[in-house]
Amino acid sequence: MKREFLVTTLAQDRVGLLSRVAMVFSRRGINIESLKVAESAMKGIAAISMVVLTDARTIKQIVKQLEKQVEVLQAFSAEQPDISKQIENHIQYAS
Amino acid sequence: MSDYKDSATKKLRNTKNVTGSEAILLSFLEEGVSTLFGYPGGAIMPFYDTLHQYDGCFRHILTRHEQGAIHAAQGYARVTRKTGVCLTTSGPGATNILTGLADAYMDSTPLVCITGQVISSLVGTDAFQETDILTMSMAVTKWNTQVTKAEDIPEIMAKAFYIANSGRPGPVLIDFTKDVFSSKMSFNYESCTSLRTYIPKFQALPEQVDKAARWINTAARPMLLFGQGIILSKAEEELKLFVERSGMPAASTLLGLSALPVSHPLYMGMLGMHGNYAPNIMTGETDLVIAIGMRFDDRVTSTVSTYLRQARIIHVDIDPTELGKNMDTDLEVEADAKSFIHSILPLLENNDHSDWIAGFMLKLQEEQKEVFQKDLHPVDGKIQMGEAITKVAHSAGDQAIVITDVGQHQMKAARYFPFASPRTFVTSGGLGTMGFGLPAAIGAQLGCPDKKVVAFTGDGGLQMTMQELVTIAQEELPVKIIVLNNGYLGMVRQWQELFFDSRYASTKLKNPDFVKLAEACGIKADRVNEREDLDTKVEAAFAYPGAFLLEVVVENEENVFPMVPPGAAVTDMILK
Repeated sequence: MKREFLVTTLAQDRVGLLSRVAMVFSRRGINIESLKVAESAMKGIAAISMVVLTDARTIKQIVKQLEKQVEVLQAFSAEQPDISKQIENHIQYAS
Repeated sequence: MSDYKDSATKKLRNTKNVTGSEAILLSFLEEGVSTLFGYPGGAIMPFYDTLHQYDGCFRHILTRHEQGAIHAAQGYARVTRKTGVCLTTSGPGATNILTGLADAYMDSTPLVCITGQVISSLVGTDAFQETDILTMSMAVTKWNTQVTKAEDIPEIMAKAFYIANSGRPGPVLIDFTKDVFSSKMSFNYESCTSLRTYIPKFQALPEQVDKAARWINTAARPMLLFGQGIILSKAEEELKLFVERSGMPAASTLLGLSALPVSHPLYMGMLGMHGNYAPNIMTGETDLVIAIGMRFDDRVTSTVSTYLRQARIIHVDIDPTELGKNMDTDLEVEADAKSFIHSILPLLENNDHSDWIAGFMLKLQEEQKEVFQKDLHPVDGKIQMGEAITKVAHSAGDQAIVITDVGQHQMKAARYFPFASPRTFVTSGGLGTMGFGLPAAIGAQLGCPDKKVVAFTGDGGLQMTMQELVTIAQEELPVKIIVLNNGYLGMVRQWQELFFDSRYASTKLKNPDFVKLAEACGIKADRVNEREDLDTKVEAAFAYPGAFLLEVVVENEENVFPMVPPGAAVTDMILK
């Protein structure tokens, strides 16, 4: 079942980083619902946070694929139960 | 190599004030690179000009197409375990290596590819021969970057070579804007041995090794599946000790071939769609599988939901993304194959699984009766691919390096060549790139000049990169090219026969005269049509001191069996 996940990637800030990170999602047909890039507390390391809709098995693979990118220091994901519930409610309401 | 280095370092002694091009060449020397594969063009011309000035320091192979250059670099890397180097210009030069990058990425081949780019001030303006190769190659490189300042060269080159040939190897692309080649800088090189954001894990956790050993020691019907990870981590000897200690039967993936000698009593053959019957069928009976350095590719597992359902599975791979990607397993071990086998060996009990292995032997006999007999000892009709391959093996010897293209001949060569020592089989596995074989053979011969190199190719695949025949002639490489000509795109035709009611859509080929073609390129050639001439003509090809193309006219509609039909379980493999 598709649920909403917040995926955060800490990576060396350089030209093309966002493309590499986005590619991990796009090649699996996953749309990025929202995105924020900011400086992290670590010098030269950017924090990229994305909200995506997918399943638990895929998100596990996505996190590993993100960490496989040479520039990525760490990636992690957290489920966003409240938001996903809201979306479901919205869908039910819409249908 | 040392001659090259001595000569070059003398010429490049003054490293205080060198150009970007010289810095790249010095970096190559620091990394032990002496063979380069490439093709010049506008954006990379300043580099080639410098290379020309240091003629004799490097051997540059001018292929006839950039795709040929990168496949040659792959062939070189695969047989030497060194990093292959490929150089091309911007725009079409760069886009022409994309297939090779994708192939190297799938098959874990270490490459450093240098592309020229338009000058920095023109980047992003759609200048002549400008293309955004960084974005294009992102999905098929382990790492890529652009260099716009000469002073960055040493650090980036060191990083590129480290990334390409550490952890799970792969291709790296560095795009240099043209102005960088002529800019002056001070060269100071430090090899890269670690990176903050990239730390391959070598050692397995001790508790995982203990658990794996316990499971192996107590299994009734264990089976080892190994892949190219064994070759990449140089674990061939350890692999042999592992199977001999545990007594378990072992089977190889396509890319794992040659890691264990075919003649080894515990070697049961190749896995996968066109692999051997016994190791495929017995995956339905094993109670424990240990998979090392392989990735449960769909050509191995077929329908994954039906694969190894009854077995406990241990999966060892250096790339954590492979663990749990295609198959859910019972024990995921992130480790280098060699390091893992080293740690588990002392914990393994000497075991004898001869009853279990007897089952494999029965299946082998079925395959011998139904398949080998027809493939290898036909009595009438046209020449079969398998018999040609075994004749070539006889003349080439089991130490020869075998390169293949992609298709039916590839599967037959994989099945019938008696591989005896490591790194003697080079093929395009994951990507299945037709046109790979001939240029890869160039690289393999340059990497191993004292070995016999045999390139098996089909009539279709040869025509994708046949211009590299001229490169073979120019470089005077004694490659033996065996064209198994069936007049079709054979593997596609086989599928059309079996699954598309024999509608041969666009698979019949009107071929050039391959003998005349080779001769026009400066390569001695001959053709064999009849079975009774096969021995003599193969022997003559191998007796000839230089390159030789032998066209073997084979049965037009021969099929590759056994086969796991698409969508079926591996255990439903068919023999005919």
